[in-house]
Amino acid sequence: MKPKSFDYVRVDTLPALFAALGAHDNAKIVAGGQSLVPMMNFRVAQPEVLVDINGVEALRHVVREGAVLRIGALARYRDVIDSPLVRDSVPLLVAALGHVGYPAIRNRGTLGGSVVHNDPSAETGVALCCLGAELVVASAEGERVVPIAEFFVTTYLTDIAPHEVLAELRIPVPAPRTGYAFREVAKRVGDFAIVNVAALVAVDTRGATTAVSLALGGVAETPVAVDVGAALLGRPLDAARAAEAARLVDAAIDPQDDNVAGGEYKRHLAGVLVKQALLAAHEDALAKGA
Amino acid sequence: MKFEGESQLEGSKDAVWDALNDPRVIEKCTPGCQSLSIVAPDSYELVTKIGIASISGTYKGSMRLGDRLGREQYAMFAEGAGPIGTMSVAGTVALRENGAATSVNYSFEVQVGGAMTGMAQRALLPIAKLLTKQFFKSVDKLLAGASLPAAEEGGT
Amino acid sequence: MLHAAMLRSPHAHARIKSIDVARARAMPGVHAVLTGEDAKQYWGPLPPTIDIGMKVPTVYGLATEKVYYMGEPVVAVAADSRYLAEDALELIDVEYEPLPAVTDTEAALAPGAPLLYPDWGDNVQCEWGMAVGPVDEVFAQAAHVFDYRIPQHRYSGVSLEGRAALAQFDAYSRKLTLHCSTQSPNLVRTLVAQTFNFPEHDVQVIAPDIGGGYGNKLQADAEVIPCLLSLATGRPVKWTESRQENLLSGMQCRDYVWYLRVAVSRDGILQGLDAKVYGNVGCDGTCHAAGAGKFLVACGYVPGPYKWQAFKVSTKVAVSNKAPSGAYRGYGKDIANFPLEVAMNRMADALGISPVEFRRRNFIGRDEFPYQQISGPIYDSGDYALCLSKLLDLVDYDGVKRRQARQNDGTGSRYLGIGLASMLEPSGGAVPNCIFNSYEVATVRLMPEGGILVLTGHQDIGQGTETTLCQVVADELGCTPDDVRIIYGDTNAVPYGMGPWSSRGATFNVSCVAEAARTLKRNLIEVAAHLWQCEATGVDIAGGAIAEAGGERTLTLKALGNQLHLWPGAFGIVPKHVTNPFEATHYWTSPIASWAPDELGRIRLYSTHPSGSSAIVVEVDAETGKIEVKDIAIVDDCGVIINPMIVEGQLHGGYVQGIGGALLEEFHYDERGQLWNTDLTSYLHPLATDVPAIKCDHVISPSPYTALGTKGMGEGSAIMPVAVMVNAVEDALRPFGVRVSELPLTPERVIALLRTSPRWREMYGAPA
Repeated sequence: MKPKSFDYVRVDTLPALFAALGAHDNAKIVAGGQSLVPMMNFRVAQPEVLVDINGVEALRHVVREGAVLRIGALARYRDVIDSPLVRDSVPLLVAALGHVGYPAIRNRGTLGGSVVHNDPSAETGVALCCLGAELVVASAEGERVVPIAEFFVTTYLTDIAPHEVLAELRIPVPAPRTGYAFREVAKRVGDFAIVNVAALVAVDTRGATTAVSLALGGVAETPVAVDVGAALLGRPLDAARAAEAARLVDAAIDPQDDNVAGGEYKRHLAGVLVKQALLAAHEDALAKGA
Repeated sequence: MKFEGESQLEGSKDAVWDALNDPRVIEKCTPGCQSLSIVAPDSYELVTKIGIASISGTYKGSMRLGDRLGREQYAMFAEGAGPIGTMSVAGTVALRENGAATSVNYSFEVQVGGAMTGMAQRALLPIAKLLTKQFFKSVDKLLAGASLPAAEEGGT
Repeated sequence: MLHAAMLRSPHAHARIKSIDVARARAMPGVHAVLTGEDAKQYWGPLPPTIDIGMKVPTVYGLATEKVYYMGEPVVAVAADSRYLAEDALELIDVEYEPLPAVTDTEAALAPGAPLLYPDWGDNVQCEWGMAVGPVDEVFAQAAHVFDYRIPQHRYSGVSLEGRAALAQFDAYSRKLTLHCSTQSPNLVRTLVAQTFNFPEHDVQVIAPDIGGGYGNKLQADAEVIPCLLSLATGRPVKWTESRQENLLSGMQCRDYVWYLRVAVSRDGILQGLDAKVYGNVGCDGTCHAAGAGKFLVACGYVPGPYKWQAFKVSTKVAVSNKAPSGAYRGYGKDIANFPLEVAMNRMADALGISPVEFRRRNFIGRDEFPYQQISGPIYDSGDYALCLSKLLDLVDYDGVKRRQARQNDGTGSRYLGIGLASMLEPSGGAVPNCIFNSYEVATVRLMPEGGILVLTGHQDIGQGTETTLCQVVADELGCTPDDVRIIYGDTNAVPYGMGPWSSRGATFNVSCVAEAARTLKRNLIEVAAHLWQCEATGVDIAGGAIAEAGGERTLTLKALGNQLHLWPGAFGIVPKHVTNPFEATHYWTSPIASWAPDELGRIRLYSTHPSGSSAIVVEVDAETGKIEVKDIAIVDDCGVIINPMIVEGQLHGGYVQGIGGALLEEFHYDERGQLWNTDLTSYLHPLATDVPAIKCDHVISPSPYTALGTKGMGEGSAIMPVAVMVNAVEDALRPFGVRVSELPLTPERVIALLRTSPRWREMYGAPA
């Protein structure tokens, strides 16, 4: 199918971007285009103007500032996966992004684009939820910082206005001996996940859990974090603890039937993957501490 | 697909009832509504321009109200067609006094159709929920006396 | 050149109340907007592609009073670009009166179902049955009687290249030229001429090498629409279908339910088979495409490679509010294979016999060929037991079984399983009253400069026709493959042939070309012998030259070609008894098919019977439901092999398609007839990451019925995998006693099956 007619503008700086957004009512930013362009071809998205920001260097960085990893919204999946800095400081992100589509998609798609598109099971969103990331949203008026849970409004909708651009992802670097795990079930390699889970677990010298963070995709309108501290904190993470955490998750989610899978199966899968991810993250934490 | 929800509206049950059954209010408060024409009592045709994140386009549809139980509950049936496909929403809206305000409880069944991409299928129920919330929020604002900007695109 | 787009029905079943095209017609860049009523000034109803006692509906290329399936074209637009044509579609208003829809096969056959064609009185497009042998007696006396209900879902070929057509009507010469992606240019030419009541010799269809067909491109259904627009505008009109159009309205397939009743003796010998198949051809399986015939084929082949004492089969083919049904790799042989091979494994289980042993006890033996199966067809040759033995070695069956015993003890959550099946791949079909007809014609020609040209009605659709024909001609004629060129895909250039389907390439086409090459060779030898005044028996052609045995006289084909044509020329050189020194045309037809019923009322439609066995090793994750394919092994008997690499390519490709059908691909229509799989994120093809490297081996049982002993082999590998996968998963999940009842086997369906097992619920299903 072919898109509706549209105009195209390319900008290389943020001021030029804001000017373009301000000049048009129905403008849409395009970066990697991996989600937007198919939607345009299906005529589900009908922007009157596409503003191409691929040349805006100011949005392309991957740097660490103290305890925060700052990733520019234009960073491609490939850049982040290949970055030694990211592999060192936030390996959970690398593990998650490896499940995004295929190499061709990872060469073009951007993390910023994924976050703003907000598919319910997007690996980027699930990992960032688990990491407790913050998002920097910029406009001609300045910047505002939004915690990720607040940024996700509903499926395909985020807290970003037509005149704004997502500028940066700010990710708190997990403490040194934090174990991580990412688990996903999809029908084929590279497909949208049916359900995915990201987990971070920190342990003390006796192996008892001191901190845990858990997020799921595919079980709600957006990726969601679930607090399972009550089941895990202060004790070693064994199968019984993991099952208790899975029970907390089960009570907190209400997956719906959709074209991907039925709610009952997603609920079952969430339970399986939560247990697997927590146990694996705990193993990883113990190994790092050894 | 089903969805339910509740909205709190500032106004007496009577005022809210009258507002929800008034085509002029429906036209002003339906997100993105460009025009509403009255085909028959309680039967309307609407043209709306949707703009929710990436999803945008013009949708034509119809709406019917009926099956009233006193001034407490009514049934609504709406259907629309546009680039994303077709959607029909049917259900009931019930009003309950809540002090000086009114609680509005709604319960709808959604059916979708048309050759739509898998991406669009995922978004339909969330969009229906969002538009419904926005509608009641707009009615609330209207009752509070605020005027609404003309021809607002649904979604922001 | 203009571009076409079609407005398609959003409803599965509706009356068309009104169509307003005024705004679309007025749009700049739009040159034609035609409704079904407008189109009647140019065309008539779609002609039938098959009619063997079937109800043939009156249907058109664009819907007229009613729409019968979601996606049916209702209005056609020609505009300066596809973009503009799609913009114009939005300006068209159609008022529909939706009608109740029916999609499920048995629901469509039930009394009171909504009728697609009310004058039929029901939704049955055709029905047929036969019975041979003492059926009642055999079932009454059998030690065991097994009953199975075995359904299969709807999916199709969905080739990489969709349908595409460029129609050019020249108003001056009044000729119509159609370039299109099709498997059968000659058939399309006839069908287009019939549809438009256009002189057939003024229609030319050109089909270059196409990007996949698999049986889906054997009709002139959507292709007539660009022709219509070209006639209406007088300009060339191009249509390239979008993937959405391909999934909505391309020919769909499979979609049936079998009820099988099998009588087995105390010692595990098959006695009687009583089978019914209810098939679903969507809105039509006669004019839109020839889908209805496959259920008749299925009836004839459900006995498979086994021996039976009594046999009864019947079919009812239902229409429903889904896309039309055509052919797809198998055309009924897959429909026959699936329930039989699943039943064989389940019966073996119930009888406490291994599935290998159970098959061995019942195979037709290698010395019993030609063997007339109880349903009528004559199987030419084969060694089914040898295929199975070789398979067990290839896949290390015993080794897998040992690993399975260790792995499936319940300590882990991944269960190993192995499934196997045998198959029959009847090839080279010859169906009366049908475009899938009974002959092939080819010309082999010596050119003035010595090259060899082959004109064939066949078509290259990715199965290596050009390569294999060059090999065959080189072999038969005595030249090199490089000397040979194949001309196909142009109805003005080639004889009337049917194209590739039913694995005809290695049956009809190769035989036809080989015979033509042999005739040409004989004639050229006669010419040389006459030239040299020697005996023809002493002359042969090899390495591109014609030579006298033991003598010194030799002529290259180039020299001979020169002498015969122009230097000096044929006059005076050609002996009187050689009526054509330049070329030979051969008309080949199956020596074994028969349309005349025998004393038991049976007919025979297929020429050769390739066969084989295959196995899949899987690991099923009992917690997530995911199935991982660990190993695939195929043993194929396609008779004489012309090109081993092409044979293996066909085996690999067909098998992976079958796995797609078993695990991933599905056309899911809901109860309102809405199709949910309209793009490739919801209709899932198998990928290279879904399968391991595939092991192949061969048995060679030449066919006595073809010129070279070849059989066909385009379909066998696609026929088997669904049964094999079901057998593998049931084997893996044996500790839980599951029986697969719904396909494809998505992880969700696997978990739903496992939920029915108390043992599984106890081990893995504890609610969180």
